[in-house]
Amino acid sequence: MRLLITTAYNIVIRDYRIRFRRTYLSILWFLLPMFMLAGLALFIGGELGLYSIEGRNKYIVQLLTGLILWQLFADAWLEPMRYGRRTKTVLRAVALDENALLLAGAISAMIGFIIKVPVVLVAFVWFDVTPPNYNVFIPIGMISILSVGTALSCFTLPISLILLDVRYSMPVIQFVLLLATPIFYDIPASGLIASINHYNPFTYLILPIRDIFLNVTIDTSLVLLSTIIAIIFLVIGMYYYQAKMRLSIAYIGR
Amino acid sequence: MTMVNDNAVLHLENINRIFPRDITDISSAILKEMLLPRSQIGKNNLNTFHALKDINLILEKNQKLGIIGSHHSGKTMLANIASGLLHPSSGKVSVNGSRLLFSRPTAGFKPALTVLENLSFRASLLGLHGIKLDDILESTLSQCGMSLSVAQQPIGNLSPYVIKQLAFYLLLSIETDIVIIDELISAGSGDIRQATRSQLQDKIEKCSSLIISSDLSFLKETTTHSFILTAGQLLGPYETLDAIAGFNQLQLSGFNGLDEDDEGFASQNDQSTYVIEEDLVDAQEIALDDITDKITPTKRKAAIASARIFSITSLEVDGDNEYSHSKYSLLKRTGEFVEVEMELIANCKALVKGGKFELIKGSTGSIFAQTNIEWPTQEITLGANYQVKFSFQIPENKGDFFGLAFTPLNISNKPIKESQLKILILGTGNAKKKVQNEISMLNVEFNKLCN
Repeated sequence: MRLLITTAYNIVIRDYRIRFRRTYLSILWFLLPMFMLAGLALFIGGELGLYSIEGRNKYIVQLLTGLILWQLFADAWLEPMRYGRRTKTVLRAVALDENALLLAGAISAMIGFIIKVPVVLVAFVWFDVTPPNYNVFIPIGMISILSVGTALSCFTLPISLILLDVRYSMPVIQFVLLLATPIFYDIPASGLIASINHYNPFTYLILPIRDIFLNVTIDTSLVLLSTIIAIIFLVIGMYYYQAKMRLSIAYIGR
Repeated sequence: MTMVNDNAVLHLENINRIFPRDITDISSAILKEMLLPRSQIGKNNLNTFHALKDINLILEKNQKLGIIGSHHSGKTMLANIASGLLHPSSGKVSVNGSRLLFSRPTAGFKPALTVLENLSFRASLLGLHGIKLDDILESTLSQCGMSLSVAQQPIGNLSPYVIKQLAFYLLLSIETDIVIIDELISAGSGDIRQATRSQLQDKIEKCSSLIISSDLSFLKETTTHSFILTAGQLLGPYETLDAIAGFNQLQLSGFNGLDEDDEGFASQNDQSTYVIEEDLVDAQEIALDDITDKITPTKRKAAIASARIFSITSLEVDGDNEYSHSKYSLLKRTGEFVEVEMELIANCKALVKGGKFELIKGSTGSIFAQTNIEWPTQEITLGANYQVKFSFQIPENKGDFFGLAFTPLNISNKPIKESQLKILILGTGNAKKKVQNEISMLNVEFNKLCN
């Protein structure tokens, strides 16, 4: 276990060194994409009437909170695949524990989240929205989000090492899922968007936790249920990953 | 882990590793491996080839075993599976102890990172951390005569020899029970190369070792027994000197193991490029004498001379002169024409008036289409080179794997006995029609080449 954690940590640190050593903005790159997206959403949302002038402050905070939770999920899904790509030559040379890639992805997702949280908390204060009280369902919800993201990575990482289709399609799939989840907008009362939101499982993954952050009363049994389902999904994913990863590695370079 | 005997530290049991025969099939092969259970993946069919076939190997404690093989025989695949890097398509690997693979020592090194950062990363992947990691890094740098200030520079500034030397020394520093060496037996240049080689020999002395190398002198110095790996099949073990002699004989004869696609031609009284009988596939029971006795160059030449007028010396398909009928199939090209150029060498004198081209089913060996092409009678001279060129339209043939063969015709327009040559292997592709009972050939030429 210690070796696994050390290996995962070293994979993350090595990646950060490569990514940020020759940049000016360094770890600010964790924040910039999210704020740029939020700014764009704010502008377009205003034009489209997604929020009222009075509700603007609450909308900003709600949006930022939703986005950092979404990004936590997205990173838990995509980061292991990125580490797999970055360590392709190592995977063909060293019999390292392949779970290290998943753990590295989860660590990287958490680091990104932790960097963003203080900024969002400042936004709470700045826009005069009541900051969240400590709630035990916040860490439970985050475990749920991380588990789902990692579970999806278990299924996509082995094949993504070889088939570029998976890599190319990821940004599109992520973007579609993001739009299908009510982060930029509230769930409509009826219509096609409402149905999409209703049947989109990520709605139930992200929104309850976001609402906890916003001190909105929610059905906590939903959070517990989604966490249990997420962990079961992760166990299934890990089983598949263990069976397939070392078959997939054989095709690297072929 | 239960081992076959108490002294065994590594046991490879019925190991197979299968890949798609045609490179364009890799995407669908990967999808199958990712979606199907393991029991379905390990099944061989005519669209796949064995990178490793029925490998059984036991390495005992403190034993040093060698593996000799030519290029593309499956050595790296065997090393990767033995070290736990890869899983086989079927079979089982049992191990008792830690393993260290000596291969690709600089894998993962990034030019932008410093020497220390790169070495530290690689060492951490091998299980080192804390004070032990620091000690080993210090020792590695001092063995290469490198100061700390240089080690804090980007590794991209150093020469490839020095980088490899650093990585090699790092691997030497790792403690392990089993060492698996995949061709990496030294690093650096000049005297340093000798020094690293000696240090590796010292390490091998202390561990159970599986040494895969084409450096036969290194194998003689470090191992007592060796296997021969040929076309994914393991022969042996033999005493290392005998194994080396046997390997050299195999190289001279051009033996590449029994190809799976040859099974389709077996009923055609197959006299293929090599004269190995089928029972030689069962590697573990073969004495080396049997191999060398059956494949001495003299016997081979005699066999061919008595059986066949021509031997193929080169085969070019659509300008690709590396085509080998046993390795590549044209699976997705139904309806297209391919340009084929064969160079032949004559094994005896004869009069040839044309050639018979046949399509033969892979599963049964039966002929389902043929055509005779005539040309002006040519007197074939022993040892002379000839060329056959033609354009061939790949027919559609549902549900089977088939091949194109050529047999020269005598002056009575009859095929010359036992002179059939296999040229192309063709697969099923996406053909929807039933088999066409004719062959389309264009621009067939038969010329004598200047020697």
